Amino acid sequence: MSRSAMELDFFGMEKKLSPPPKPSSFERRRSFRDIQGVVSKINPEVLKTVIANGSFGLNKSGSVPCTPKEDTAFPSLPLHDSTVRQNCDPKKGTETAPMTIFYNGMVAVFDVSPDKAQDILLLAEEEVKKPAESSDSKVTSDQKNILGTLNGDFPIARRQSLQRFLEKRKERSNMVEPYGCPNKHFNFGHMIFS
Amino acid sequence: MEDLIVSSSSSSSMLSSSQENPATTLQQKLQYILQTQPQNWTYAIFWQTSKDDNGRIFLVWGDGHFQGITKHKVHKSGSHPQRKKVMRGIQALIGENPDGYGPVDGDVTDMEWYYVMSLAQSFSLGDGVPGKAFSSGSLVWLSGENQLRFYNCERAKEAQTHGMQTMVCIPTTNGVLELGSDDMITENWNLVQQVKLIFDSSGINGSSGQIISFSDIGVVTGFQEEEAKAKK
Repeated sequence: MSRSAMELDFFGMEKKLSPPPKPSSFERRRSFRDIQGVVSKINPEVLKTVIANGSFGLNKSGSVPCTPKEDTAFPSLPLHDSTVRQNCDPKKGTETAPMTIFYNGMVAVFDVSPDKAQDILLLAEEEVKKPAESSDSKVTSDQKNILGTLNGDFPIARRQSLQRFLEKRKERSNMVEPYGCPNKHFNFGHMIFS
Repeated sequence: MEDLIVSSSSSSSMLSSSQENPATTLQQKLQYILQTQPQNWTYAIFWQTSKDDNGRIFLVWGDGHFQGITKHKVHKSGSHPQRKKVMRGIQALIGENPDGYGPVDGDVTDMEWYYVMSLAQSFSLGDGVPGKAFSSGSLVWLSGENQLRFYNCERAKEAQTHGMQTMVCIPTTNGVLELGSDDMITENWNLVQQVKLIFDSSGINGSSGQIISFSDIGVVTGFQEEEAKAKK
């Protein structure tokens, strides 16, 4: 998998085919130092985000993955561990393709599924957003509830109620009320004591 | 209350037409209740009983009326642009004529939002304030923020966080009437009586219950008050 462009294999992808049983501490230190050198030049926040959202984040919590289930006896370097699992995931079934990222003079290559690639691209486009207020996510789930019920059982009553509500809302916003609430007792008040 | 004698006169009744669409009648009942109370109630929702596939009874949206906020209060709902988007989406979905109501203007207040979200709710027996009212057959009257917050029901908590200070559930023959207000309103038996009279189908005529003379309702409850005064 050698390419013409300079490529830093700091995730150890070349090694994935034959994982060594237990790298000696010396090797570990060396590869760690290499990685450290590269990583230190990348904005840690970006790196964390990319790792968490890329194919390496196979566990859903988005944290940098911990030890895999199989006993690979790999060192606990998070960057190392992930590579073993990456293409072994039988669940995904989606094709992964290499994604090359040039950042600030550094290059990295990841194997990602199309979905993940899109996520990463979207992430890169927007700035790292402040987390939206939690009510927004609730709003969208509320919206789904409403829309679901409008199409499901009992749609008619709900639709009518909604239409009436929107109509009245419009009336209210158009109304000028110099004397308070003219609606009160308007329709039925005169009926009561007739 | 059981001794009430109600004469169903045929005079000046808005609802005496037998061709009246029941859904319209329910709406009129809701509006009547809201508009004839001296206190300011923000909304009324009628939860109707229905049966699920296993034959179990549950409560689902029947109809509602949102009366609105009293003008002298300033409600700090804050700006929620997401809500407007949702409302517009809903508006488009129910196929509204764009020339009809026009776009959703202004911010959607907490209470309006709470009302709209209620459309999607349903309650099994004993579940939530409406479910509890229906299964026990007794009135639930929560007034004040603390009562709403600590009633052990999600809906009551949501009502409180969306501006309500009072929430009432009155069980009737075929459902539960829920009333809510941003004012603090203490228990008012008059209101409960009126609701029972209007919504209980076995009350007035014994037939479909659709035919009610509103003029009679006022007379009847007025009669009650006089009796009470006389006893003092």
